[in-house]
Amino acid sequence: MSAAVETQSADTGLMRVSSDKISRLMDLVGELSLSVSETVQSPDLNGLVLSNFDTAVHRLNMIVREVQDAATDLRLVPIDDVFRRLRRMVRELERQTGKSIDMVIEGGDTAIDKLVADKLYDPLLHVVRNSADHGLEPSDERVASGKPAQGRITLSAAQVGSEVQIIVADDGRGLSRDRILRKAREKGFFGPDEEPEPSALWKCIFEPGFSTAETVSNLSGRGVGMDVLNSTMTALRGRIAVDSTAGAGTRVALHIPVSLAFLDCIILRLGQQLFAVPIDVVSEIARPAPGELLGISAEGGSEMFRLRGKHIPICRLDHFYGAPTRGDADSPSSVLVVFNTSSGAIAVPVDEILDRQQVVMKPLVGRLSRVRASWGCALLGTGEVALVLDCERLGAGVTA
Amino acid sequence: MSDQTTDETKLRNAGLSLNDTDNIDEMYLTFALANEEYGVGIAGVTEIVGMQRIMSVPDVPHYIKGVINLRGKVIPLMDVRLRFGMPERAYDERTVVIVMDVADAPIGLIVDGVSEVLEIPPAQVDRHTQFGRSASRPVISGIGRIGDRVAVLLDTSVLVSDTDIAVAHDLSVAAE
Repeated sequence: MSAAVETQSADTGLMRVSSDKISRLMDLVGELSLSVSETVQSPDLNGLVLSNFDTAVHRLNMIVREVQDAATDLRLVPIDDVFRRLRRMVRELERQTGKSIDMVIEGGDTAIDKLVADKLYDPLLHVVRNSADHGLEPSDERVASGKPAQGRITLSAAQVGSEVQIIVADDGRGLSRDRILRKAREKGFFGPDEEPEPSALWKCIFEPGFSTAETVSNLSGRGVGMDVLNSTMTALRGRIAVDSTAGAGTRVALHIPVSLAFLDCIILRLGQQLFAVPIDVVSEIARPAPGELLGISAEGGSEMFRLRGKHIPICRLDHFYGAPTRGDADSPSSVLVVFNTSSGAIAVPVDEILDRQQVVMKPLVGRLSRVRASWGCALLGTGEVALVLDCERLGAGVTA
Repeated sequence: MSDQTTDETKLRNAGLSLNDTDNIDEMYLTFALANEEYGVGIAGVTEIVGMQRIMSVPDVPHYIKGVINLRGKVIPLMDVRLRFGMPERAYDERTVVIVMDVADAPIGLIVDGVSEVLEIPPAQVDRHTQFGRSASRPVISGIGRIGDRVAVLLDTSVLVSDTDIAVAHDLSVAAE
């Protein structure tokens, strides 16, 4: 197997390069694009008529963008590498469980950041193992219920916009609503008479401490639980969706951004501070009329924004971060940005919406790692730094 | 690593003497805060830059003034005066930022001005255990004697932590 890969690499002229070198190149490309925009936007150029310069700048910018794309590309690997490892694991599971499993792989050539791919194997293994071990019924049971004797697990990947969607689907017995609901009620996620929507119910299995071992399918634990899957997905800025039909199977969909290095963001200003928000969580930008803001003094005071008959909780960033109001006192924040989070929509007032741009992401290290509800710093084209908001944690903080 | 070498070159070119044969662990970069002199181990210093445009960030203590973008690196800046509970002072052309690497994370220290790089062998460093006012590790690792002057040597890992370390002011007076 590995010999075959090596011959193939020799033929196609592939090269092994250490990931450190690529990271270094990515950093330099980031710096290059920053210093280009710094030069081009230099205040020294204000008021000058520079027609040839502008043409050159245009070309320079095009080249920089291409270099940026090419550098991002270097880190992209086909997701097939991960899928192949999973296929081997499924063969192993076939032996262990005595079930016959048909593993179908689709979209293996979908490109994904190497850093993401490396982190995906364990959580995906967990989902696949779950399907093989307990989702799929033994052959006789399958035949009795009119299904083909061989169970099927489909692993598919596809790029949707700036996200990669990975789906693990099986045609097994599906999640047991009764058992999960009972457990969820025990844990107090739902009231005794509450009948939650299926999608809301399935989410429970990712809650820390929601032991799947006693409920759905007693997983052969390798120390990797569903809640670990959840935390890996948070670290990768991804989302999970589960769908299941009794008797027909379970479908787990992971949505992950293609690249961790660059992020398509909207830039917001509040007082002196800049924030960046990934474009896909912004659902709406509104300018509230006076009557649409509702103050509630009960429970420590909160505010609501009425949008088309619905009330959306308002999250003021300066309150959230416990800072004295830093917004301009004269012009109270006049624009509301509505974010979609898994705990519901929240509205965040800002002073100004500046721009939409591809930002270079930098992780928060040292003292900054303690800043809450943030994924990292974004370096803007102007050389300024904005804090990238993690709207999920912001939303959880508001509704909690 | 290569960064550090170039920065040492920079320091040398800036007229600060740094002999290659010196033990780097005994070398200190000294800087001024009001009329007090402090020192940090040179090994952790990556570079010294002039004051830059500071961008404010939320959710940090008041002595973290914000961050700067130093050639694509985001570096939080600590105003050491505020960290020690000293009165704030407007930044001027002598104000500098000492960029350090502490526990693999960058931090910039805003100080009134850098003085020099000194070799202070352990024999010239007075170490006392009573500097800290509590049981926690003290921010002062020792008092370095250089001729008739003294420099308060700082433990940068305590400095960048969130521990309350407002320096007792009688200390520096006593040291003079």
